Amino acid sequence: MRRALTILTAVAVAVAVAACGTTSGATGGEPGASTLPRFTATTLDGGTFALGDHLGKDVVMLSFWATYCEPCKAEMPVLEQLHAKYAAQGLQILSVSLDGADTVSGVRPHIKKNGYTFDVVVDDDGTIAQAYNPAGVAPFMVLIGKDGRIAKRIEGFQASEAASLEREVQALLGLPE
Amino acid sequence: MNRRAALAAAGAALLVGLGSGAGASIPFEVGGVQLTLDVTESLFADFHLKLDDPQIRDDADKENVFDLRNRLNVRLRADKLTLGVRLDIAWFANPPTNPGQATQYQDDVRPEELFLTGRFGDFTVTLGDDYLTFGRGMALSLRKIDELGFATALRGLHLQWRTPRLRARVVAGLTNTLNVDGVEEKLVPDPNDVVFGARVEATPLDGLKLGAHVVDIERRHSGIRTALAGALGGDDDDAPMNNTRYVRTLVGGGNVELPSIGDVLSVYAEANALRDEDTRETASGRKDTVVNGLAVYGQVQAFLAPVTVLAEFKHYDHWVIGSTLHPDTAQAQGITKTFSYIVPPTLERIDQRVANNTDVTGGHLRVDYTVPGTTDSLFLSGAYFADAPVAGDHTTHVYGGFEHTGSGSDRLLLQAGYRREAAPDEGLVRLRMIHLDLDVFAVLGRGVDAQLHWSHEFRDKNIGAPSLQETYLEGTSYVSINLPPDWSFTAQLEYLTDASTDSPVFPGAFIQYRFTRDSFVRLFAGRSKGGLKCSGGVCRVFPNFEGVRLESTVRF
Repeated sequence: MRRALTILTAVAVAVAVAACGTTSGATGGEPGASTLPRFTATTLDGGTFALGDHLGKDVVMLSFWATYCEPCKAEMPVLEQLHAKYAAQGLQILSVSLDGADTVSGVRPHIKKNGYTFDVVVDDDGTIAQAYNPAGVAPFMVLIGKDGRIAKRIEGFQASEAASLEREVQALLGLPE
Repeated sequence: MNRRAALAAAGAALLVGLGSGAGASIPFEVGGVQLTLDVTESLFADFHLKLDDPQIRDDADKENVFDLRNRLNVRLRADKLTLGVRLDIAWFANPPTNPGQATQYQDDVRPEELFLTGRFGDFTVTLGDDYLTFGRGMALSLRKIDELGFATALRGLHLQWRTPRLRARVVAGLTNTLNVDGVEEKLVPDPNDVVFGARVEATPLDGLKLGAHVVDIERRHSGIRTALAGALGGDDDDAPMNNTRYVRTLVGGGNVELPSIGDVLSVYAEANALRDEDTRETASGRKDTVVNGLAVYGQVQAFLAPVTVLAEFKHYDHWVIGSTLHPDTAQAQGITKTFSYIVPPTLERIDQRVANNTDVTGGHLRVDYTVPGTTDSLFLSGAYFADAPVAGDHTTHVYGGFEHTGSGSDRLLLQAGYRREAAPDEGLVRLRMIHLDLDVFAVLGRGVDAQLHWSHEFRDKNIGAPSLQETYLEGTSYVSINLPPDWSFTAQLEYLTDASTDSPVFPGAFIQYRFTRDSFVRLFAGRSKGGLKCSGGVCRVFPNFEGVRLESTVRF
């Protein structure tokens, strides 16, 4: 019991200190000096995606989804449109499938059938989710700015927010609206 | 666990969680070292008008039960290191006491996840809790399903070396299961089995991937497990359970993958073999049992626009790799289960109740046709499984439907199917089912979205056995309206008309408020049907729920 309370106290103090830091002018750090965890994953077509190649250089969008998640499938056309419009300007979209062994066979057919062209990886170990989506929810999006910092996290998908998502991407890319 | 301490801990975590919702990670600096903190705080509080637990004998004992479960996820990052902690809290205001019997509704505080990961060039080292899957989950699958549900981690060492053409992993540790899960809400001890594993994946040629793995699960009563778990966790109980000593399972296997042949074909094949050793105490002495198992899975995908084809095959023979029961678990009321170390592909719908995935041979074929010039598609899926060891048992399932995904994110999925599970040697049709499923995701205009879901099943069970035969309906439906940016409303209606259900209609409603894009509070009131429900790709049997449930997630 004493051990559990000690751990709890330590965690609570760390969180409280960090939260105070947010409001008292936390350091911005050097652009590109990202502390975000790197990962390397194999894309559906057999290629390699290394997050470290993009941190501090591109705007990165990590989009967590699964074949059994209907809102996730509704979100994908929005991602495809953003990819088509902004990939050349430095938007790197990585669609991260949370499908396990039981449903992973449906990932590639869904992507191929709909003609999506952004990179897709299967997070079979949960490694990427463990770092960026510890609650393991879908749909869930993490937007990382060119400074290598997380700029926005979005849980769930509402179609009416597609326009605001595009504005956020434009702002992170430094493009006029 | 002291209840006052648990309450204090839950309150502190809640206050911390609700303190801020910045929607992005928190950067700060300590001694010139750049650090980033991510916090995800999830709270689940249930008020049960009546707890659905047949193990509690006294009705009054399971009425008006209030419980709270909290998950506080913290990730602290500095350069190449990530420290992760997840603090879990369970607290009951008035838990069932179950006089004269054991109860596992207990207050609990523990760091359910604790890990330190370092990335050094091509090497990644994790010390503490980690998740991993080998191949298609047939040899080892330790995954986190969702924040509340079932999760099993390996608590130990995970070493990975990855280059563009080679990936090698070595793991060793004790299995750490989620001790108080959101489904049963009961305290379950860790099995503390010892798991050793290694897997190598190579890409010798572009477009060709090979993998090979071995897994050794040293269960309770193995010499290694007793020595290690006893030394590390003080858990060296050696008494047999149900007269059986579960000793060890060895698994070996490999896979071949051709992910993209000419951009039109994809092939995956995997084979595994296991050796399972148990010992049973009998009147004539100890009897050693060795079971050999085999699992083969194959998959071919073809993309010949406008047609997409998925063909799968499986052959599983004695393919079971379960944990041992902890003595405390085995003796507890209501919890008699082990958990599986593997999740072999079923080749079935995610929400399908699969009666047998351990001794079965079968195949699945799905064809999708995309209407040229549109985003509309038609699909047809068929599967046939011969269930062993009872010769002649077989399952047939056919379904098809229509799918539309619009560029404006409107979406429609309509499908219907027929399933038959037959046992001809017994003169039985165990199940005959017709199902209908509808999902609609629509933008109504003025920033309003709507989602509609309806799944309906006509079920006939045990046809041919008049005393057991039963015909009933089962279904789930909900309508959800999103009023961006903050509010969502959901009305839910479930039904189950089988003989064991007193009140066949389960109405309920959700209201959700988002105070940032990634943080929300949600309230449910009403009744929710128990039975099989799917979350995060894994289906579990949930108890009925009747009462009020509050859920919040805050990230900062």
